[in-house]
Amino acid sequence: MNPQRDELQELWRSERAAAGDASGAGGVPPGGEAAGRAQEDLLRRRIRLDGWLKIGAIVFLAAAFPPFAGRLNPAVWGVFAFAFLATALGIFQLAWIRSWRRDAAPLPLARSLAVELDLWRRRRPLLALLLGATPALAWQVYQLAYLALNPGRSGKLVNLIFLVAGGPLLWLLASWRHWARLDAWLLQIESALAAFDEQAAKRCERARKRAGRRTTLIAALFLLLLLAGFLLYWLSR
Amino acid sequence: MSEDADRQREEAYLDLLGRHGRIAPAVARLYTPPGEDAADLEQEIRLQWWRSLAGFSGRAMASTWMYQVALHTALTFQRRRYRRLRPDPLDHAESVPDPAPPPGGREDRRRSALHGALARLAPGERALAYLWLEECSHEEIAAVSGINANTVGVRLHRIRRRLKDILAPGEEEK
Repeated sequence: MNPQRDELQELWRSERAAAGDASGAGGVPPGGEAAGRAQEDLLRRRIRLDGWLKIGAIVFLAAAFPPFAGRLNPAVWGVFAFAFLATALGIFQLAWIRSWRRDAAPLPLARSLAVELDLWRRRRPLLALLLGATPALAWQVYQLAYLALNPGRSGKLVNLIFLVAGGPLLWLLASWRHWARLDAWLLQIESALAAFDEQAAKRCERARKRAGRRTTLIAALFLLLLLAGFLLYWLSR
Repeated sequence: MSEDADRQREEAYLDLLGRHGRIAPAVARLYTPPGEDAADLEQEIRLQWWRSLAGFSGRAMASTWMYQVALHTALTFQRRRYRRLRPDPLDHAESVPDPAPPPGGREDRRRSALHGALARLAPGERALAYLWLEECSHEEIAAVSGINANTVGVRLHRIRRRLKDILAPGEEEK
């Protein structure tokens, strides 16, 4: 027997004795719907909130209808179409996360982490697109509402560029940002898995380097988009 | 009928908690600095035991199942916040700060040094080290971790060596 092992185990045993074994006694079962504090539960709540935000577009729609009544030009139809799209996506998002299972059967650590990794990998593309859509949809609705209220400005090139390119670009970039966040999220699982799976350790190292480069690129592109917006606005004045 | 099932589930939960409930604070201490986070993780482990109790068939040993759930919860609880784009550095030493040396005697200092050494292991390695310190057999560690018993032996040898290396300077001071 290794004396070092025995010594450390002895030390651990003495700590257990010092802490006492009463810590488990007198527990109360948590409610079935008790809110968890793990990052996964927080993310789930965040996605739910984002879904409700999208559905909130219907309130904007109801409030916006009276001023637009009687002059249904393409811009007004655009406002309605994008607000409806946001609402539909919000409803889909809420229904989707409701279908996510919470009570997974207990599995050995290596398998449960691998299952979780696979699950989040499959959720990632749609989740990134849905979360990235919120700022883009808000921008499109704002832009169209502005043009609907100021019909004379719809001929200006800058407004057309903001409308045609601004929303999709913002959607693309915001989705990419969420993709990167989810990737960092997946790396956490992969690095935990690395202790049990050497292949995961190698993948983790490669992905980590990639993630660092991508973060810099995303920040630079967001800055560029912001600068381009300011520049176009300034040139149009 | 449903009330009976609920009562049975509650009884089973309280029975398991009475026998192995100490796993929750031990794992929480292992993965978080003392304070609010540790209390949150401990609470989360209990919640996960409760949630996954329906999936526990009883074929595995209760302690094996409770270690599995507790360590899985700790490994995922510790994950960095979703807002952050950059991943954690590979070295996890800074994820759990070394506890300050307690004012107590030599034994207390040694325990504190052991926790400091465990905090410097990667989270997955820490799980294996914890199971070994709990005197689980290689077979039980294999059942909890999902790697085969021979690999468990190799990994534990490496981890013990690492712990020994980390603890060595402190031992020399004494």
